Amino acid sequence: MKVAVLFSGGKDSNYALFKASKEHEISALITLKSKNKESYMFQTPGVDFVKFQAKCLGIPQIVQTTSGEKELELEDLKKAILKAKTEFKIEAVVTGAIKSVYQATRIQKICDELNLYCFNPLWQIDETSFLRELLKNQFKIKIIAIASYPLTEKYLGKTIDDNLKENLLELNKTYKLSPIGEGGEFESFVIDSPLFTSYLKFETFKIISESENSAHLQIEEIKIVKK
Amino acid sequence: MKKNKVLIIDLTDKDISILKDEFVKPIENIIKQTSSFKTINIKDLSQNIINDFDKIILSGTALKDFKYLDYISKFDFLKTTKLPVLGICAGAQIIGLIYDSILDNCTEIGMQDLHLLKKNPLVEKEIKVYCLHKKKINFNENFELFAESKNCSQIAKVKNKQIWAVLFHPEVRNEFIIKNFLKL
Repeated sequence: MKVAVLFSGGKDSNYALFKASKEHEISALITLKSKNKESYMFQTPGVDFVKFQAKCLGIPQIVQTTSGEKELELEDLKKAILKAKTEFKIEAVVTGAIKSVYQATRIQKICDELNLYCFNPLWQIDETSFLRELLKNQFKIKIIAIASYPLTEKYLGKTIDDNLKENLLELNKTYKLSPIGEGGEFESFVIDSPLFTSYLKFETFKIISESENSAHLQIEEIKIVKK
Repeated sequence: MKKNKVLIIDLTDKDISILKDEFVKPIENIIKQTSSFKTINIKDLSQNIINDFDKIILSGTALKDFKYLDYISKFDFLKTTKLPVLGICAGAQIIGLIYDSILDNCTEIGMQDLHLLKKNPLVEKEIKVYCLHKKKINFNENFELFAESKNCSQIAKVKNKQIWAVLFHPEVRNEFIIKNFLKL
């Protein structure tokens, strides 16, 4: 089946893509660029650089900008999915939704209206197992935004490795922080995966701090490096 | 709690195996906390396997997937079994059809208010439930009705049996319902 993946560049959409690629043809990536940093639907940090991931994957990317206003962003998402259906003849949309009924419901409704399957291969996945699966499958994931105590700027730019995984699991026990950032505690950006033909390297970046526990990495330059 | 041996019948189209992650794995993850289980796809289901288990769960599937209706004849065992059975969404529809109810168009996507009609062992209070279906079941006199949403019957049981039809998805946000079923 030809499918398009809703693709923010974070670990969830990259892993959903990885799972879908095992039995489907990934015809397009759909990225929504939201002007609303508080969007419940779409990740905003790092989204300008998702095009580099698309290059590493060798998959066409459909980029749709949106004001990010609550229901208008759904119209913009529908436009982008319709474009994928028209241009690439997709029969399904793949998402990285895990627990968010808010996201899943809205995407399911759009797919239903457009007569497309909606695949959510990470739906309700156990958070600890997911973190382990990502590392086992050689995903290289950087934390690019934090928004929750006790996370601080020192986490920005870190790659999730075994040590950081253990640290996140510990924070889960102590502070009930989701170890995969499901509650928006942090946002991620994938710099390498089994499907990437090259990997990415942040050349220059700045830390933009909003408060002690809220900050993001402003990527300024990114480099594609051959594997 | 008694340790159950649960058979999960996966109603997703076997040719679209990615659906299993979404509609079956979440159920498996709940069951494995207290019980052992085996999952079998509807395509591979044979009548003789049923006897090896204490309880049976029929999964749901995607909005566009109606392949399970091609296999309705494999569920004749529901007429005679004494085992507790929980049918979720598509699984509930199968139970309805086997007991001569009819399906009707009714799309519900997202959280719905569950209105309780009668006390029951699965749900004790009014809650919000996650729905993902395009068909509802018009339950006939073979069923006892326990809960409904604005547009559809949501929980029903075959009279004099522990065969439960639940139209919403309890594996999303309401895991306790599956745990309560395991206690039956």
